[in-house]
Amino acid sequence: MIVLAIDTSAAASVALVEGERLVSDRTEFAARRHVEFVGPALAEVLADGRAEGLVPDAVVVGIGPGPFTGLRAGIAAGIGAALGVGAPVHGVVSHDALALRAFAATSDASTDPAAVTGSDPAAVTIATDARRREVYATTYSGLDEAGLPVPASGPAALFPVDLAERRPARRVGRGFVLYRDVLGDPEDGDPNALDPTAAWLARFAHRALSSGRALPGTEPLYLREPDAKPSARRETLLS
Amino acid sequence: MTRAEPLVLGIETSCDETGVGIVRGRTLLTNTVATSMDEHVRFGGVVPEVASRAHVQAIGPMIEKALADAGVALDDLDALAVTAGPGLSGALMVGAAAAKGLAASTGLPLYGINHLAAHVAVDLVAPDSPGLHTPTIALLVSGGHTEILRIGDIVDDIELLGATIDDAAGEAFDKTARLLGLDYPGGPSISRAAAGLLDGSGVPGDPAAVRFPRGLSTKTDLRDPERRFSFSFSGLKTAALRTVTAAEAAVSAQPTDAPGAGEPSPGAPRLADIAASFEEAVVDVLVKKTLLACEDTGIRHVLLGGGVAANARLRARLAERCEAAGVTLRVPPLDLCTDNGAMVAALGAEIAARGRAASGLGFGVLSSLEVDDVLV
Repeated sequence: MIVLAIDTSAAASVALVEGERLVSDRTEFAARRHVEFVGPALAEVLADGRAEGLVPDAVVVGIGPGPFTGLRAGIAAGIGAALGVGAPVHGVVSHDALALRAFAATSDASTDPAAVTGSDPAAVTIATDARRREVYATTYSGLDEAGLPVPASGPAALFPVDLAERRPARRVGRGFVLYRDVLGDPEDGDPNALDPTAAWLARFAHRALSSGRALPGTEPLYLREPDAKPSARRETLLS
Repeated sequence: MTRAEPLVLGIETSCDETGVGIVRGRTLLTNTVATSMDEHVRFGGVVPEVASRAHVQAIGPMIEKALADAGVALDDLDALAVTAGPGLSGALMVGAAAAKGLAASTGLPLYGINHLAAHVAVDLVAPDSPGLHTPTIALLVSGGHTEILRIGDIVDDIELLGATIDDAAGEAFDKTARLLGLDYPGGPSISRAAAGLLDGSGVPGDPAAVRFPRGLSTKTDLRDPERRFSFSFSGLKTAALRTVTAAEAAVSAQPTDAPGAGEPSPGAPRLADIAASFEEAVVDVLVKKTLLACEDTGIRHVLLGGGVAANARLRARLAERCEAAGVTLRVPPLDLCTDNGAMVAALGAEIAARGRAASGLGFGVLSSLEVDDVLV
């Protein structure tokens, strides 16, 4: 299966993956200009695919959690790209991509993502920047029979001290860099291990779709209501 | 790309409307719009985050619906256009990103265009229009905008003569409606109240009952080139608050057991009077400055655009004053005055037909894009 993936939940990342093989990707860590990034990145990655005669069978977008404005840029671009290539579009929880990478990295055959199956004894906790002094956190217990990370709790927006109380076993993600004094350093400081990337999002989608799993829709995982307060209707004495 | 009648799909997401339009040259094929207006009612105004959430849900279905309505396949299109600004940046980003996804995957040229220019360009494709008349003065009035433009050419010669320095006119309507206990959106509510339709009397309010201030309209203001075509509605808003507070105090000071208790107190303005007077103050200054712009520039044509074009009082007063001054007035159909994708497609088609280079895929959205930047 050929999957085009976009994730703008933290980094800005676009990738084309055939099965588990990465065909092409563009990733900008610490991205601030997601809308500017996503157009050229998509065009380049799709062109790399065409050079190999590869056209996406599916488009997937990271639905977060992540800062909303940037997150939506990737989702909207994916919706547009899916219409353009005539493929269905699905959502993938962005933390799933980081978790899959983390389990793959500890398996015996870490260079071959296809070999990563079975349950890993050490649970992985993903923590990414939720701004407002919080992290988005999800804990995964291991991989299921399809090689997909199994969420045990979350995702949720938590204060670092509250996550620290849960004593995460394996610490993965930029949240552990941002709040290292409270949470402890992440196990891997490679940028690819800190932010969800489209390549791992695509691999997750490939595994899910080829084992007949349904993926979520493209609605972002907001986990927070808009800040605006409903205004009480004012009563007037005038008639 | 130069083609006499390019087939262009336009996307508009600068505020609370998710609009997708398709035009073939100067022929409108579809104008598909989803609005999140109902979701903003409980907040009393457009909440950017709420609008952005609605856009990302609606954008895919709206593009598909527009293509289906127009009977057009993506392969048939010659170009794409999207609003790059001005507007709410989070909202703009959804449309821009979707347009880039479409452009990157189809190879179609993409034009990032100016929302205000598009409000004028819509008359290129309005079904009842003989075409866009230039030169023209344009009065654009909505919940987000209040501008007077001089348009010599829709692509190459647009000049901002004046704009609001604080609230947009539509915003002033919303805030004052709230003060009067009326529903969002405020414009239609205030108009109904002014017509005496809300108190069951059917007796229209007296637009001269309360003498509300006309912002930036003193002789000194009009002599100052910086203020001559500028608007300010914050003073009006404050005056409305004072008037309503005083009138309510007068009502509640009436002894409740006195004869006639519960009746409108003599001398206190009716709600209909305040609404009519407020509406009059807004309309007055909009009309006056538009005609001044005609006078100064010698341009004998006015185009009205934006959601507040739905205000009957504004349309009537502007028509009256234009006629008296020998100026022709054009008001596109209301569904093309409010934000929509057809206006974006119309401007995109005009730019494409002139063979201009596309914007590329790397542009960003600009919440305060200047009006003379017609193409980013």
